[in-house]
Order: sequence, then C-alpha cells, then structure tokens
Amino acid sequence: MTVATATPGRRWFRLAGPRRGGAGQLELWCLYLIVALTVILPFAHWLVPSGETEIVGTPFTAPGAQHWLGTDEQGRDVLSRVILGLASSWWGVLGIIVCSLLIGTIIGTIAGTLGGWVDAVLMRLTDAVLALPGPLVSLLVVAALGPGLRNVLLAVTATWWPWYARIVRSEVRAVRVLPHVDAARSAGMSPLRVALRHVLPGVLRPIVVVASLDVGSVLLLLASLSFIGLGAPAPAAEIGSMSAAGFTYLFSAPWVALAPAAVLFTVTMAANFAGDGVQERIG
Amino acid sequence: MTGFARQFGIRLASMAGVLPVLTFVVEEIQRQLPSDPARVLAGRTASPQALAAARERLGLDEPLITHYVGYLGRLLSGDLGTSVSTRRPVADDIATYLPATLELVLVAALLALVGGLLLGVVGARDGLTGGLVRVVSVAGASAASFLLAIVLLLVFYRDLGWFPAGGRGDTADGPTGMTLLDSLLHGDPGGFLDAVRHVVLPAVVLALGPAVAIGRVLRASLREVMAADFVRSARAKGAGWWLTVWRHGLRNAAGPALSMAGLQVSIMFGGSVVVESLFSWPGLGRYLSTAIAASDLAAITGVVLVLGVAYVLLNFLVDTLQLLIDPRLRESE
Amino acid sequence: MSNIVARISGLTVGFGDKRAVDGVDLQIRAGEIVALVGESGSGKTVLGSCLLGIPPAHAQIGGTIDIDGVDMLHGPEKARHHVRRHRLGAVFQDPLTSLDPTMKAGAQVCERGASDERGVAVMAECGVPEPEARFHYWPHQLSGGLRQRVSIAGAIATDPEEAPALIVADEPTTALDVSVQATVVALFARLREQHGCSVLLITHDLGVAAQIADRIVVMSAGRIREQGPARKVLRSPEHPYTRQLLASRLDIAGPFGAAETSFATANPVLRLRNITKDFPVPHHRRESRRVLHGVSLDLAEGESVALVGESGSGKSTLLRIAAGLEPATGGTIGSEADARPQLIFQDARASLTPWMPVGAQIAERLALAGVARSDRPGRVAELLEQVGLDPAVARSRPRQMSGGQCQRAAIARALASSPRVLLCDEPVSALDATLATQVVELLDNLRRTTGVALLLVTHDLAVAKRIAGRIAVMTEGRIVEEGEVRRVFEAPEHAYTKSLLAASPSLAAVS
Repeated sequence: MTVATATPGRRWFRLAGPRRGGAGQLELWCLYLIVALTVILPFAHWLVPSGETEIVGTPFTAPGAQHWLGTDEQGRDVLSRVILGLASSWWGVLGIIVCSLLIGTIIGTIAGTLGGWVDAVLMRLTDAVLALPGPLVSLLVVAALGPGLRNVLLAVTATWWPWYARIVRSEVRAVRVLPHVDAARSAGMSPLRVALRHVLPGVLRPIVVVASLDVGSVLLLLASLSFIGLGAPAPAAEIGSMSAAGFTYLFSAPWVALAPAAVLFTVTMAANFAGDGVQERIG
Repeated sequence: MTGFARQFGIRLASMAGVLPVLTFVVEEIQRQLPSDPARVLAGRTASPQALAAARERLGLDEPLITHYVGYLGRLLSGDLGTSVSTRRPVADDIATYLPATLELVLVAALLALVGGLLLGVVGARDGLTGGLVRVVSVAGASAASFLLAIVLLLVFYRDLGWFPAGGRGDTADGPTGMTLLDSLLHGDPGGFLDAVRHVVLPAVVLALGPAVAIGRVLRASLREVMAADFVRSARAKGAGWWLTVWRHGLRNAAGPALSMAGLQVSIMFGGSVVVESLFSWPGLGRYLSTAIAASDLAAITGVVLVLGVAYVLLNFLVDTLQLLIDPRLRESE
Repeated sequence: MSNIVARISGLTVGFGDKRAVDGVDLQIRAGEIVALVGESGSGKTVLGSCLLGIPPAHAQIGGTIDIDGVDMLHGPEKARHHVRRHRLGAVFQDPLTSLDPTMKAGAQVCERGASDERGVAVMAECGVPEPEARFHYWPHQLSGGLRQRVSIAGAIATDPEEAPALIVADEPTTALDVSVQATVVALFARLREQHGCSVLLITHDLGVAAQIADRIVVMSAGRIREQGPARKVLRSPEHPYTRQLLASRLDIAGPFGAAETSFATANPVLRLRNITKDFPVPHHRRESRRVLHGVSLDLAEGESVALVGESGSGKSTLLRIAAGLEPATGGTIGSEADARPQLIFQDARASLTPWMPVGAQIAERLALAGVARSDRPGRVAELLEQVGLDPAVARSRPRQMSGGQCQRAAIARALASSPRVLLCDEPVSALDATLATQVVELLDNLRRTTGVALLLVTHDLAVAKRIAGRIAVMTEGRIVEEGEVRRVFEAPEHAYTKSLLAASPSLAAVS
C-alpha cells in the first residue's frame, strides 16, 4: 500500500481471504436450503398430501392438524397446492436465469472480445431492449401469446438477458486489459485460448454472483405476473394466482391468501440471503 | 458548459431513438398475435366480407413499414384504438385513469426515495444499526407486494381501522385529476385528509421494494466512497462522519443509486398494476388488469405504450440529473 | 515542554492477533521535519492515520497521542475534530484519489472555512499557476503534480490560523514524476520556513528523506528501529535494519553495474526503426495524437539497455510495440525468428493469471514452446530454482505469494519460452528497496549466465545505472540522448538528461 502502483482490486483475490465478521452462518444455511429445494421440488408430486385439484374437505376449513394450512374456496388442501405452485415457479425461475445467463454470456463475450462494429451492433441491440420497460413488455408478450408457464418463461427471458450481456461485456473488457492477459497474448497464445483460460474464468465469478442475487427478484416477478392472471390458467396451482383468488375472501378466510404469500416470502428471503452468501464467498 | 450541452444532446438523441423502437415492438407484438384482432373487432359471427373490411381497417394486409408508418400516424393523432370491454376509445379511457396512477406513483416514488436514502446512509455505518438495516433490507426485498398488502390490510384496516381498505375517496373535480392536489387547490382540508388516508397503504406497498433496492445500492456505493482517500483527507480536515457523508459521500455515491432509483420508479409503473387491483385504486393499472382478464388487446397495448413512454422519459430525466451531479460524465466517453 | 507539537506514547495498533504498530513512542517538535521511513507493512501509514485521529476501522488501539492536550485516540470526538480542523493538515499519496472528483479544486481548498481570497492565496503559495482560474477547475482537469499541490493547499488552509501546526504527509511524492517530486519536496521545506509548521513525512524512500528531513525515524514490523538527526542516521546508522536499508538502496550515486558490457550493434537481436505511434483522440474521429515520433533502437545479443523517461514519454508504448501487444503506426520492427521477446511487468502479481497455480502457468508456456508433457514438471522446478524460488511454489496461486515471489515467478514464466530478449516494464518500481535490489540482481545474473538481452523501461535512473550497459533517455515520444551508461551519467549532453539527474533523490545530498 505504500509503493506507487495499486494492485487492481479484482474480486477473485478475496476468494480465500479473511472473511468479515461472523455473519456467514445464516447465508450458508440459506444456501443449503436453496440447494435442498432444487433437489426436492421435482419430486413434489409424490410428496404432497393431496393432488393439485383434489377436493379434500369443506371449503374454508381453518388451518389445523388435518390440513396444516387449511383449505381453499373449493375445499382443496392449501399446503399441497402451495408446494406444487412453488415447484412449478421454481423451475420457471431456474429456467429464466439459466437461459438469460447463457444468452447474456455468449453475446457479452462476443461483443467484449471482438469489439469494433460487432460490439457496436450487439450493444445497441442490448441497450434498445434495456431501454424498454422490462416487466411491462413481459406482460404484453404474455398477454399476447396467452397465459402459461412457457410463455412467461419466454417473455421474461426476452427482457432479462440484456442485463447479463451488459455485465459480461464490461467485465470482459475490464479483464482483457489486465496485465496477465497481456502476458498471455505476448507469449503468442491463440486468441481462443486466451479468451477461455485467461479471460472467461475471471468474468464468470461476478456474473454468477449477479445471477444468484437475481433468483429472488425473478421469483417475485413470476408471482406478480401470475397474480394479475398471466401465469398458468385456472385450476393449476401457482403462488400468485392462489393468493389472488384468496384475496377475495381475505377478511373471512385470511389463510387462503396469506399462506402462499408467506411461503413465497420465506423462500425468496432464503434465496436472497443465499445470493449474499455466494457474493461473500466468490464475489 | 459545452461538455454538458454535448452530453445532454447525446442523451436526448438516444431517447428519441428509443421511442420508435418501443412503438415498433408494441406494434409488432400486436400484429403477430395468434388471436386475430380483426375477428375481435368484427365480432365472433362476422361474415367474411366484414372480416376483410376489419382487416383492411387494421392494415393487417399491408407491408411492414407502411403499416408501421400508418400506426405511428394514428398514435400521433392520439388514436390508440377502441377498447372492446368499455366500447370507448382507449385514449379517452387512459385520460380518465392516468391522473390516479400518476398520483399514486408520485407519492410512492417520494416515499421510496426518502426511505432508500435513510436505509442507504444508516446502513453504511458499521456496527449494530448497519446489520439491522441489512436484515430489514433483505426482508423488504423478499416481500411480494401482495403479501405486504395482505398484512397491512389485516392490521391497519381489519384490526386497527386506521385506513380504508381501498378506493380513492370522493374525487374532487379539479384541474389536475389528482385528489391530493385538487383538494388543496379547492381549499378543502377534509378532502385532503381523506385523500391522504386512502393513498397511504397503496403507496407504502408500492414503495417498499424500490426503497429497499435504492437503499442497497446507495449503501454499497457509499461504503466504497467512504473508504476513498478523499474522504480520509476530508476527515483529516476535521469533518465528522455525517458532514463527510453529506458533503462528499452522497455526491459521489449518488450515481449508481440514481440509476437504480430511475429504474425502480419506472418499475413502479409495472408494480402499480398489482397494487391498484389490490386496493381497488381506479388507475391505469386496474384498467390494465381488467383488460387482461377480458383479453382486451387495444387497451393492453395502449396502457403499456403510455407507461412505456413514461419509463423512457423518466430514464432520460435520471441521465440528465447524473450529468449535473458528476462533472466527469460531461467529458469522458 | 511547550514546543512539542505531537507526542505519541506507547502506541499499539492490532488487527486480530497481528500488530501493525507495536509500542511506538515519538515526539514531533515545532517547526521540525521528521521523516518516517519504512518498507511496506512496517506500520508507518497506520501510525500516520492514528496521528490524524482517524485510525483504521476494526483496530484495537492502545497508548496515547497527545496534540494540544487532546488525546487523538480516545479523547472526545468534538475536541478531536477541533484539533483536526485547526491544527492539522494531511496529504496522501495518490493525488488522483485524494481529491473529491465532484467538487471544484477551490471548494476543497477552502473546506475548513477559509475565504475564497485566502484559498487563492494559499494555492498561489503552493505553486499552483494562475490560481484564480484553477480555483474553479474540477480535479480531473488538473495534472497529477497540480492535484498534489491543491491537496497541499487544502492541508494548510486552516482557518483562522495561518497554517496548521503539523502536516502529516503520507508518501506525498511517490506517485509523481521525478522532476515534479523534487519541487513538491521543496514546497514542504518552504512551508516550514514561512509558517513554522512541523511536517511528518511518511516515505519508503531514504532518498526523499535525505532531501528534506531534520530527523529520520526508521520503522519496521511496527517498531521504531532507529531515530536521530538525518545526517547521523544516513552516515553512521546504528541499527542493522537501517544499515541493510541503506545498503540495498539503489542510488544514482551508486556503482555502475553493467557498464563494462561490450555491445556489437552489428548483429542486433531486436531492431526498432523509425517507430511511430498514433492514438485516436476520444470524440474526434479524424484526429489522433502522436505519442512516438520515429524512434529507433537496437538491442544486441546479451546487452542490457535502459529506456529512461517520465510518465507520458512513450517509453511503455514503445515496449508494448516491441512485444507485439500494440501495432505500430509506422516504422519496422526486426527481430530474429528465435528471439521470442517476453514481457516482465511492473505489477507482477497482476501479470500472473489469478486463478491458475504458478506451475500451471509456466507449464502452459512450456507447452507452447513444444516441451513434451512428461518433461514439463521437471522443467518447471528447474525454472523456479533458477529465479531463486522453492519448487513447491508451483502449487501456489499468485494471491498466496508475496510481491517479490510474484516477480520472480513472472520471470520464471518468461524464461520458459527460452527467449533471447526480455522486455521489462518498470520491473522493480512496485517493490520495496530490499526486494528491488534482489530482482535487479537476478535479472543481471540471468543476462550474464544465459546471454538474454534486456530492454528495461524505468523512470528511475538509479535502476538504470545498476543494470544497464547503455541508456536511452526518452521524453515526449523521442529519444533525446543515447549512449553508454558511464558517459550519460558522467557527461550528459541533453538538457533534459541533466535535469533528470539533478532531480533524482540521492543520499549523496547529505554530506
């Protein structure tokens, strides 16, 4: 710190560095929870007490020993529907993030590596999409294509990838001018080898961090779209639409609306803490 | 100031470039619909002749550019089509509902900015308060607006009865169409109070997410700035923590926080759709969700277009504001 | 004693179980210039922050610092503010980051309540030309030297007093060019004469200390090793650490290292002819700025040439062109097919790929050079030993290594391609004096034993003297003087070379 040149504070140097404070435990457990959810939720159909549209009791049975979260306006088990709804949107979220990540990384890497007019064209395209109001365009696309998980996935990915493309591109450009890349280039390595071994690993860390922090936001966006009727159509269990349906009976049977919303809150919060944890670890 | 004028020009030009893109995207989506708008317009039992006429009126058989130019022309003359559910011109519907949404978003934006500023500055300090703010922030960022609405309604309407469950109170006929302003202009304190009571819950629900997001970004950039050498040198000149934050910290940390604020306030226009239907707020959002339920595409695209333009304008405003704050932006790149 | 400005007693600063400062006692008298000298990690910067009453966060602090009867460590916040506001001034290393980019220069000078007139007057006093105009400049519109002058103006513009009692200056000249350095050092001396303020000058460079200090305090590992009048410490040091520091310092008064080397330019291994380079001017599509104006330079087998110049002289650009990292706008680069020029960077740690173990990086180069996979581990170990590293280092990543180890590893990696030319860009300027000497010696040894030619870019004439057989002095994109090292030092011809030699800090100044 005393002699002239500052080592650029690139983030990967902190990978094994001393961790601040003792706040890591909560994030770690949340990370485990998120991993566990990803592993368990595909098997949700075998785990829930009753089926998606199965009527198991009188409508509006309050939460109790038999139905932990009560029953809804048609007498279906709220707990089972919440778990199934979570399972379907979980796949939506992962799908959106992974697809956006793929598109964004490919476009961002190409733009950042090649530069010149390719960069200009790709980035104008990205900026154009970013300048549009994302959630509103998603809404319009789903409204036009018709409700349903697949269309939601398509619509949200279409407006989500440019964020990643922009980050990846700027990271690629930042890493490309670092001395270690110059060192590799001056040794006569092929451009592809330089890009894959000496640039990309440095870019992936920050982008993975951003993506993990986004899981919660996408989860909420999906729930909101479903809440205003743009998710899977009626009998299907989805967190947003269940809460919307229960909202009508909010003051007589609050649990119907509250239960899905509360579960969503818990999972989103775990996802956000886990994202923080990922950031602390590799960011 | 030439640097400023130049950069301002660049931003103005890029905004002018985005608007055609926005209208084009909206128009194309509308055109590529699987559900045939001509059939919607002509009615389910229309004869082939009537259908063809409707097709021609909508310009569905014209080439892309001609069609787009025609569409743009109609837009500029204020023609957004006719809503199938209200049977009124969409432009008129929007004019009726827009002031309510603007009012809600403005109040919420104010709350979000103040909240974000507080969360950001307080959270930037080390120690217990900083940690507490962090947990509150994560919780706030994880709450769906309908969850917050449910909880607030149960507590403040059902249990305490402090605020009404929804609606907007008696709308005073006034020049602006915003109840808060109109009641003040009419010199009606009772009406103003009523308007405040109605706007509190929806505005809080709409503002929470953005406030937390702004706070997070502000806290992160403020922490970075407060570790910079020029802050050390300011503190060495005898300025205390709060004074340093005020004089050096906020100005330097404002950039990312402002971008986030612009983004979040624009997202509010999307969020208003959910919040307005939760609180029966008679604005564009509720109009939009009824339109969605009725598959009323003219209304949907109309609203999306208006909100989209508001979003683009707002982004432009934020860009200009950043230009005013950071002198370096006026020259570099 | 009323003429003591600051009294540090028993200062201890710890981070966890590590002690950055370990029981330091130090007194600074009125009107005295004290140089606090130490290498990185010696705790000198932490001590400076404590003196200003803004110790690093999360530190455990013991002892007292007394300024004007106020304990700057544990005293009431308000009293400490008062002392900082009226009695202290601070100047930091990097003028780029020590001014707030969103605040005009004048506003920062007057931050402590001085009037605009006084601000302008202080800026004039600190050698800012046209102070009335510069008062309204943004920091990014000022050069590095001017920014540092503005920082200093801010440090002394206390109000209502004439000047602070004590200025704490942490490496104030390190980021500046040699010729600017000398004037900034002189400025401190003048301020002391005019206002009688004391200066605590924190520096890694004994040469800077020798230029100005009344008293030198040598610190290492958190403790004061030796202190005394400057002449005494420099001429007859008592502590072995001081002696080692003095012995390892590269000084322009030191011996010639490679002067005897003969060079036959007839058979150059690298030949640069009339190299020009234009960079585009941002926002002016058709305009460009010429940074190299037809530079020619030859490098013979086994020769070592130092390219000396200040920042912006184009020396690094020339090196990058020679390494093939940057295309030249005009001119020719001739090198033998097997020359394989390799670059050594200033920031060695950053020049190693952060996520790859050092051994893997060397092996990657061996693979490029066509070494069979089975031979690589053995060759990696050989190379590491050749640069004085334990072969076990092969498994470490750069962040697990010290700065000196990183530079050695980078040299080993360059040698993996068996180059006949090493291009070194300020290879030691980021290293502490002791390490710098070792690396310079390593490079010199490699040249002698393997016959690799060295082209070394440096701003430091002392490094050039130690390692080069021939020197080329560059300024504003041209080589203005070139010749055998002994000739350039003993009979410089060009005015610029003379001014560089005069400005270089040297221990010979104290005699």
